[in-house]
Amino acid sequence: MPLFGSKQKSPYELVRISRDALATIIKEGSGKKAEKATDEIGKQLVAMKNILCGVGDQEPQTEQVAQLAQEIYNFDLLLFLVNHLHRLEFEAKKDVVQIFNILLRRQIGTRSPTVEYVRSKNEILFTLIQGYENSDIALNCGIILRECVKYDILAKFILSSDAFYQFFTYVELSAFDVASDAFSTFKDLLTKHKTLCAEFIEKNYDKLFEHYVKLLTSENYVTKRQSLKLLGEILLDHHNFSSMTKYVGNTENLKLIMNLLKDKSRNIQFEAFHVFKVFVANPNKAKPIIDILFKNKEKLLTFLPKFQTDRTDDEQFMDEKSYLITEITKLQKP
Amino acid sequence: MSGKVGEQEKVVWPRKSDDYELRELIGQGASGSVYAGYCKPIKQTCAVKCINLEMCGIKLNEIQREIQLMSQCNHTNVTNYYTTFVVKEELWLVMRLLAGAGILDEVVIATLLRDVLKGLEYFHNNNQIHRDSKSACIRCNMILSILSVDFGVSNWLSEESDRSKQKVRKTFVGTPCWMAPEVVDLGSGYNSKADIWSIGITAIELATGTAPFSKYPAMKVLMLILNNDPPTIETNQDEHKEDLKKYSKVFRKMVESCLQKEPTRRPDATELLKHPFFKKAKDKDYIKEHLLNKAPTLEEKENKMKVKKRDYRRGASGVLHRAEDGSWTWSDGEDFDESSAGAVSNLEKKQPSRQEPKPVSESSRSVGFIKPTNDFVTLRLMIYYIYHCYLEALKLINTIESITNELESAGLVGKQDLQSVAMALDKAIKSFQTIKSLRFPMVIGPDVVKDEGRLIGCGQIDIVKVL
Repeated sequence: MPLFGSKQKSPYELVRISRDALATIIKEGSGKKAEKATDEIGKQLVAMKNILCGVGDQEPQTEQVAQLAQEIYNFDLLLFLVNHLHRLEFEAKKDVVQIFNILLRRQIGTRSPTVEYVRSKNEILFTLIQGYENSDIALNCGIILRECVKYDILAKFILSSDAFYQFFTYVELSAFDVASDAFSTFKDLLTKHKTLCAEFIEKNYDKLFEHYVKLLTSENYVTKRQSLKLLGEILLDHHNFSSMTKYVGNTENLKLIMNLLKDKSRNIQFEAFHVFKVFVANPNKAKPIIDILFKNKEKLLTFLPKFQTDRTDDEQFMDEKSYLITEITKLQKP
Repeated sequence: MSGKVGEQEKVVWPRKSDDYELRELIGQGASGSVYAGYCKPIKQTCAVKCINLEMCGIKLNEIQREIQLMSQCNHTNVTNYYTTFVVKEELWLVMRLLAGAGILDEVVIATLLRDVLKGLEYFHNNNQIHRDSKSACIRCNMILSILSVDFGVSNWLSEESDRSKQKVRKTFVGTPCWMAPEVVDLGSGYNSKADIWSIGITAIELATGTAPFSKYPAMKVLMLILNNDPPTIETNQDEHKEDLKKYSKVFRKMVESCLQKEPTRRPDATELLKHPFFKKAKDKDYIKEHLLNKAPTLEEKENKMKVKKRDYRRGASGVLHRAEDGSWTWSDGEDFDESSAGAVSNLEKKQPSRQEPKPVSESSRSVGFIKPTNDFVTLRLMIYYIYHCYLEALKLINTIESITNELESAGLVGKQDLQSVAMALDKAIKSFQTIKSLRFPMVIGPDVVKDEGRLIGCGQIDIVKVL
């Protein structure tokens, strides 16, 4: 017997009522009935969240959680909620995010049943990615996506689909909040799972960098700065050794980075420096690379000592800079 | 029709800087400035916060996190943003312009102001006048709390100044709306009592959402401060008069005591803290519960305001370093000029200057206190404005034309006199070291008798103080 208020609905009821309410919203579009259904689904989502998180000091009850999860899979509720996320109220959208993410983290032994479920329903990930195109739900989708990307099978699935290349458009969207959220997901996809990412970058090197150059030369200051920083991180990660070697062997890349060294933004210059140093520090420089560096030897030796001299508190930077100067001084006519 | 459930027709805020008109500066922090703005395509007012991303100390991912956090908040007391986009090296956040009455209840106001006053008391006891105790700093407006916790300008009184004269500052800074009359009137000098005036204005702002004269251009605000009676919470709030009735007598009395034109009659911070109004103040948790979920505590803000200094550099251009001139050389005599030329022309593209207040909009022009006749207008104020311009001119060229334009749009000078005013200004600027005052003719109606002594048919520029 419940102590307060109306009796608690079973997980089955919660899920079924939500599905029905969602169906009503889809059918009605707007009007009184749809409004009522919107309220209804909001309530069910709160109740589900309470089962998953527990209320107050109460720990969530394993059995209830298991039942609820099962019903959610059975009814394909996650799929439905994601597909119709834009129809929900502000708080309901947030509840969906929470419910989704808690379920993703749920483990039975070593298995993650929700992760398996999401993997089996490709549509969910595609819909979430497409969510970036609708600013009403973009950030909600982004939060779920980043939770998904934490699991290598889901990350791998996105990377191997063409949908991944949509991110190159999303990170340049004019809405900063959406674009930067997309960038965080994009970054996670390229860095979270070291071996997987390295393999992906290596295998898709040409296509990837053909797209990536557009980010580095973007008109959008934030895109340019962020993508340059990420490039530095990718190249300096030893997992990506073979891709790095390929990158620093290409003269077009060197030219681009040297130009960015002279960008009008100090931050972009600084990020460019961290990529440039890889070209110079490479012990096995290709001849065309040496050619360019040698041709610019004098200019570089004037430029570098004056480059961002006020960063005196950044010891690593100072060291690296003087290392580069030494290396460039040593350059001989090839 | 596939209308969305439970949503009213949504306004789509454009994401191009051209679609916005930045009108007046309403707040300035270390990371950027907040402007009262107007979105032209959808005809809506808004606040635009411009954050300079090139400034050191700001990490992109921190800003992203804050914005994401804001996007997940939906509370009436927490300012959410309408849209946000990148403009050159700045991030623009378009937010609701806090306007309209009854934004905060008295308990909240008392609590906030008490804390500000305590900060001020500390400052005053330490010989520092706090220049802008405007509520931008305590607006409990999430974005301001997070992205610009600094408390505006604090200026140490010059130790070199004549001590017998009780350490009086003589600079012309601050946001005009919060300025005490004696601050506007450079001749008289001012002291810590000027901050008490600002507290009074801040109280009004907290109660009504706007500072009394905030809808006018800077020049006119100065006029109004000097010539009008001290403002009350009802000043320029005709549309919201009804909502303002809820404010109590004791609150009004407190505001009134701060806003006395004669500085000596105002209480000092310590005395003001004893005002019965502040009995309403609760502890900081009350504010936390009511307003700020994640914002830094007032203590943190106070700490910040002790160290922060206003950064005068505006826009991104001020902090840019141009690296070594000259292009790199590629092999095979490949031509590199193209991209290098691109870089240079980029540099030359100037950011639109926003320093000078924008001309008033059509609507506020018609509300004007001063009819656009010039018979009696003394242009004494103008010279203050010139100083103001001079101060800023180091970064930004303020032309005579821009001054006359503003005078015109503020309704202070009619078209027929612009030429004459411009010439007088030019002369005043050129010879400010040798002359003290200069008069110039102004057009008058046929039935008005010219009287130079009463400034009928002529205007006057007084050189009050040369900085």
